[in-house]
Amino acid sequence: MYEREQERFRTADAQVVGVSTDSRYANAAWAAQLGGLSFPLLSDFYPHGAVAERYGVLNPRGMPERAIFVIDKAGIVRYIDVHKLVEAPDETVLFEELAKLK
Amino acid sequence: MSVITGRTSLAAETPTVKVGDPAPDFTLSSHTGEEFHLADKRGTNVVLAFYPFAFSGT
Repeated sequence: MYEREQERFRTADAQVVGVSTDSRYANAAWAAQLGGLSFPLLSDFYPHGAVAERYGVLNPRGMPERAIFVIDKAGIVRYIDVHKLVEAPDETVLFEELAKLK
Repeated sequence: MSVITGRTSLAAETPTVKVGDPAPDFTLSSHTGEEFHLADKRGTNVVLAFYPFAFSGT
């Protein structure tokens, strides 16, 4: 969804960033398998999950929850959505929230 | 794991961050080897999407 909707993110002045505890090389292989990505996948690899932990979304089993934070142009958190691990967040709500920022 | 799309939002805040807080700053390396520093993105909205594992669905 994030790659498919890049045009809409651009319109909303929004940069998408993915974060997981995977190594950079796993992320690079995944990006290649997806046909290339126009946004970065970041490795929260060492110290393991430190950024996820700071955001309060490190699952006790060691990986991040599926969670979205919308951060505005001033660096303030404007929207948080923590999801079940097996569920990708619905994009409708996300774009509604982005439209509120501008 | 198979991933479905849904609206089951579990939480609108986390133990450490709530809406209205300054986003905790960080620097991490991207899959292309570039450094990403959150504070450099002032002036742009950022959608920070945490995911459990590479290859686990989008």
